[in-house]
Amino acid sequence: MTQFNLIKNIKNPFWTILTIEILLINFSCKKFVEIAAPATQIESVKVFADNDAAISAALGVYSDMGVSYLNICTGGMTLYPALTADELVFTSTNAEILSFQNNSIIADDGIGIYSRLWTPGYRSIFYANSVLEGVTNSTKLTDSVRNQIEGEMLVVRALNYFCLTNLFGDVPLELGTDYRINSIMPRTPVSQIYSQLITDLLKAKSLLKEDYPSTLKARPNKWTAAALLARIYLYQKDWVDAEAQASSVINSNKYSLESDLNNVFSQSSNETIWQFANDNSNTSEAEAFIPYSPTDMPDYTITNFLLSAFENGDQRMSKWLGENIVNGLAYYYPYKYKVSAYTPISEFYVVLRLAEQYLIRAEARAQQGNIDGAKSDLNIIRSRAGLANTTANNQDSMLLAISHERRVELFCEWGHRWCDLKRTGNADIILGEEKSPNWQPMDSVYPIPAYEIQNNPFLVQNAGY
Amino acid sequence: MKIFYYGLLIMFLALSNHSFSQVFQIDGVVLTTRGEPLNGATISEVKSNSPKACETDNHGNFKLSGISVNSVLLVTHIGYEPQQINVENRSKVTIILRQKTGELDEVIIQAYGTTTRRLSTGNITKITSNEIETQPVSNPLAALEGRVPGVTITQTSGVPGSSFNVEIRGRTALDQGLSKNDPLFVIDGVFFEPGNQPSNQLRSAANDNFGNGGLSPLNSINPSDIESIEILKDADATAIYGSRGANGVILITTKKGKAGATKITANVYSGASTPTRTMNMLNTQQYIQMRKEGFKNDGITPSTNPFDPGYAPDIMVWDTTRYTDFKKLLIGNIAHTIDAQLFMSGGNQLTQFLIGGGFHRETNVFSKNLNDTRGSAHFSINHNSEKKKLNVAFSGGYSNDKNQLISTDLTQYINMIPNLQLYNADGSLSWEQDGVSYATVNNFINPLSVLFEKNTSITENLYSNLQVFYKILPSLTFKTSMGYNTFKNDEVAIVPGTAIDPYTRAWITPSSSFANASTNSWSVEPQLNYLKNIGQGKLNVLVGGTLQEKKYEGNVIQASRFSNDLLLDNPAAAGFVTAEASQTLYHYEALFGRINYDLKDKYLMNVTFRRDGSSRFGPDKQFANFGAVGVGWIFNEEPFIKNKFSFLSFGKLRASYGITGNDQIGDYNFMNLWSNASTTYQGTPTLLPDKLYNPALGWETNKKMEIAIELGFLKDKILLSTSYYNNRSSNQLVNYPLPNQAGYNSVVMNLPALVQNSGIELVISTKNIIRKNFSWTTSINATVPQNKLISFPGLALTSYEGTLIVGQPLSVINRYKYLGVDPKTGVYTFDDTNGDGKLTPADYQVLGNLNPKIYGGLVNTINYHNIQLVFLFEFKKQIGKNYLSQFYNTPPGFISNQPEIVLKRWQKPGDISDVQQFIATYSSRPAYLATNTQLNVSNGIYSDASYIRLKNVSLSYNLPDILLSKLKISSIKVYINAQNLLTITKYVGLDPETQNMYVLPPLKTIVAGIQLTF
Repeated sequence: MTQFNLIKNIKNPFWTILTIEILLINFSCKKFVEIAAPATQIESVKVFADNDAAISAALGVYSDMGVSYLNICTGGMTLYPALTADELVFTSTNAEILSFQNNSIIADDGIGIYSRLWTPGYRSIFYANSVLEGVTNSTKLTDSVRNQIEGEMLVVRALNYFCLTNLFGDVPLELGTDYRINSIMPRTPVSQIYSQLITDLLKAKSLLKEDYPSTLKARPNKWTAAALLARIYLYQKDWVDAEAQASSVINSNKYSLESDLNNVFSQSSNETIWQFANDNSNTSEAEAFIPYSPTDMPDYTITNFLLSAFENGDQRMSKWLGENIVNGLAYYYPYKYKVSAYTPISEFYVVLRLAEQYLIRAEARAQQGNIDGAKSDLNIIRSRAGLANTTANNQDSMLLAISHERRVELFCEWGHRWCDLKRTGNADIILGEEKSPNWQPMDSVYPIPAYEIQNNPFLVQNAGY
Repeated sequence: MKIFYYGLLIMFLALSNHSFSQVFQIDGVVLTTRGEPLNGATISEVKSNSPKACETDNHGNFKLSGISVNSVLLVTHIGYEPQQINVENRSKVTIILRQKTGELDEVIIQAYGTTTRRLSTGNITKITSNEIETQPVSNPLAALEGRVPGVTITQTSGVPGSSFNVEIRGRTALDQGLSKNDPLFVIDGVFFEPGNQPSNQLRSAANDNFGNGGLSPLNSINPSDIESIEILKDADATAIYGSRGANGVILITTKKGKAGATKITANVYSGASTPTRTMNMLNTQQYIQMRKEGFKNDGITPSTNPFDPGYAPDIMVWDTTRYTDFKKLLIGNIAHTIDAQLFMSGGNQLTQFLIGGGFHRETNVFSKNLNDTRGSAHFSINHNSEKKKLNVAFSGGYSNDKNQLISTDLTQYINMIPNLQLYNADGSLSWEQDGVSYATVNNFINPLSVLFEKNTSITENLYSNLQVFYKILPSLTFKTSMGYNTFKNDEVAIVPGTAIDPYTRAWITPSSSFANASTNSWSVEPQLNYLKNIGQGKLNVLVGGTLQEKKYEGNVIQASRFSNDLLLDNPAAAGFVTAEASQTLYHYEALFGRINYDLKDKYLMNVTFRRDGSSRFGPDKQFANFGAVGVGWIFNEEPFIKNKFSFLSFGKLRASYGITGNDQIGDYNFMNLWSNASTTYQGTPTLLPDKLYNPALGWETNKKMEIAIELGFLKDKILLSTSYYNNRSSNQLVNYPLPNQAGYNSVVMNLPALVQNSGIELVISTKNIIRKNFSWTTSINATVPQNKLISFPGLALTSYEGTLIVGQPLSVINRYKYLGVDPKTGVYTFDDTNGDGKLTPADYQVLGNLNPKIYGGLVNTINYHNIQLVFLFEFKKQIGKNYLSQFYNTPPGFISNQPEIVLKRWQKPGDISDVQQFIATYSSRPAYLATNTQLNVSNGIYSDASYIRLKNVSLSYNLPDILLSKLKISSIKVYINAQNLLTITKYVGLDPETQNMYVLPPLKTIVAGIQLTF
């Protein structure tokens, strides 16, 4: 069939109409199938062509990270390490939660390691990277907005990597959004992750301003970057820099310890360096830890190990622990956050606070042989808790005293106990004894979720799982 | 020119009135009943010593000389009834041949036109209203089960309105989450855009516990409005649909009016339904015994203390004599169906009309207070101008379906422990028993509370189609088809305080969800059809174009923290409200053509082409070309065959090859889009990226090949058709699973994998007995499908590694090999292939696949006087998931009821059993791990799920004419119809079709009805 010869025979109405039809369709073609973004969504380039929209994108990262129930940055980093360490006991029967307490986590588990820790951690990192790419590629934002957002996102990313690496060990270090690279990335050594975080946080510190860009402390400022940096230097045993960064926070005069322990976690606490604002409900830690009625068995109770660590007269015991009497027995639960009702909102979730900076500096000073400096920092924390000054007077006893103080000041808070046991090399010694026979050296890192291993052939499971 | 010929002809006819003697010549024209000239008709002299014969030319003219004035001529043409004429001195004759009405010559609807089974070069299966009518079903898809070779239709649930999975010629999609292999649905020539995707946005009892399934948009189409359903399968039939034809096409044609006296048909039926197949669960005594044995095996004492590992309130605290048969309580209600239809049709030669109204209601097995009610209306008007140059056909329909359901399928609770207290002494629902709250025990709820969680879905469907034909020239027709479809869905789901455990009321508040969605689509398809006799053949050329738009808008409002149940219907009364809105726009355009050449009704050729553009792809990827070639050879018409094999009444060889595509990937996947996040941050709205985007998305192509032979024996008393098909689908569009480290766990992309579906389809229909008052016909169809992953470069580096294996079907079972229960330990054992003493994925083996081995159906139709009996058996040989696949995480002995079959468990060393020892706690490590982490990744959760189902039985009686004439009614039919009446299977589970312990099995339904025609 030779259509084109026949087309010459234009007199025939068939071919005339056919020709018109072809022309019509060819003209309308291209335009018709090129559609605009739907009215309910925005194209990426438009998001970062406008200061307000770009800020909304940055806020989206916090709203996603800060509101979910017991995800890595909304209590998951508190709960799960508290169970795998020696702070909390689960009183109900969920096998998966029990597996944390028994240090027998299974890589196949779907909720804990997978959907509460790994997945939201990497989701936040992806969001932060998306915003970072958006602002750095945009030419339409003002410099101050661009710098502010870039600094904030570097802090967000660093926080998530810090948590992930302390839970899982080596984790893939994703710094962009291209799934073709990200989805097959192998695990990056912890040391390399920390050096990236240090670079990022130094940059963030230089980009961010001293004033918070938000009401309260819901978005990072310069000292937020410094505070996280101090912690990372401490973990890296870089005592000099840890002390310097902690000092910069303490000396900023922006923060002060709350004299009343009940106010430490309140929304307007002077001690808070960074907090997540939850618009719709109070914190999920309060929801998870505070029993529904004074006669209920708490879901999570404080271990005897932690209870016995409190010195007599430590006000943190009466103010930061709740007590329920069930069948004549007293059970204690974490009570740093005090409001479990959804509304009205009176507590934000605290990410970083000043007390930790004093403890970081005390430890860094003690490690450098500055016992007096360490003592003064430590006593600030002790006196706030209603305790007498420390009796430690040499490096060993001082380090021991600081470690003890960290345990009771930072208990059930962002996995400090778990991370401290690991970074000081004490996990096997202490947990090996307390959690015998369940504890095995392999338990100091969680298994990489099986789904991840299955979907990334370059990921290697942690030994023993 | 043609007019000129006709003129001449008429003049000749008028002039030639005188006769010649003896040697004689006759001129004539052979026409169809529609007045069109018939090319290639054979005119032969009979009863002559030296018979003369000739054929008609392009204009239907013939000239036969040398015959006698008294000759008898036989005029034959393929597809037409032969006709004998006596010459009787006439020298001019006009012969009108009537089209044959046998099965082979019935009109079949194809893409943009019609054909017949005799002349088609493609593979099209037709299901007529006769077959649909005998089935008491509300969804047209249900009427197709077991009737169409090469097509598997699987009901996802027995809940009224729930959806069906449709697969035409096997699974092509690696990723069923993305496209489900859904075919294209076309109603009266207009794309039905809601397709086969679930219409509900809120979770309902029609979803399984993972959210799969849902409500079927096709449930909004009244099966009684349907005249026929054609299923297009091969390239020849589907390539003209281009990018949308890869998964096959289902054409639904609604009823049209016929010329003649006004006819009124009324039909009413009513009946009852229950689930096809269930499993008996343990009674309380057996359950308690199981629990105690489990604790004994664990070496743990059952305890009343919540902090003991042996805590067992069900046997230690609660009444152990109370017994509820939860299966009977929850899914044992008898559902009632009532259906009424009224049609009126009539008209004259120029204008015909049909109007109809329908009502269908079915209550459900959860509760008689829940029902699915559909009212529908359908109309069709057809008008011809007096000279039949212009034809306008307008048809449409509207339906409104209100499906009152609950949010959760109660089948999920048939394994509730049998001694749970349901009511308190005061008649209110129990939430605790003897001081132990249900919520604290394995998160139990009172299953009856689910009945308060109402979920109502109202679906409105309006479809309309206007077709205008204009005959520009006798050989050239212009046609435009314009279609509009709007499909709306409104849902309300309520969780009142009465459905919430008082124990959890502090943090779970009464809530309600509201969702609405609308899909509006329009299409315009101008076409030109050119029909001309060229040489000894008939040329039919079709050229057309498509412009189409589909617009979807959906909103979901979730309201919670209501202080009470009084204002749950008003989200403004809620303490907390979230809202979501989504919109999508789809634009599609095409240019298509078909050239069909039919030489002497013996040699057939069909070439189709389509160029498509779709808005679902990124810049420079929007357009693609598709096409197919089909050829046919009707060989029984060849003299050398006709003479030798006279028993062969029909023989056709046909073959086709072509390329179709698939753009079922959702919209905007190539765009980097951001949306508002679910919450504000300090009161400021927030934005987040939607998902991973892929600007390089392209078409998936499906190359289809088919070879078929169709035979008729003994005057078509036996018709046989066998086809072999081989479809290869490449450039696979998949929702590719990614590790979450990439930000999301999937991205839509093209994969270089090649999937082959091949198979043999066989249809045999026989007229076993045809007598005046007794006839018996049989039709059997069978399909032997094969599915294979041909290649997948780089498979080892993708997330499909392990779940897909090159050379194996997509549904391959690559898992631990289940070795049964160890007679010594009473624990499930699995094959440790590498003998390293551990079970790791390295021990996985290929252990069969889930593809059906063979499936089909057998229909018998028996007529005896006024009685008709039709019965259809559907059969399928396959492996499927058994009850263990859902119950693996509550091993027998745990605090959960089990089917009776667990009683044959292992009890002591030496016992041979399929069920491992009972265990009651997590402490029995080997036995617990065996069920919880190994059994579910072994082939132990699969077993034979083959079945033979008496899918449909219809017994009807037509009242005798004598009675009718007295009543002045043209016909009265009374009937009993049944669906899914009997299922023969060895399947261990509920129903082998749904294969899910937590999903309501399909229902068996028996109805009785009466049909009156005036």
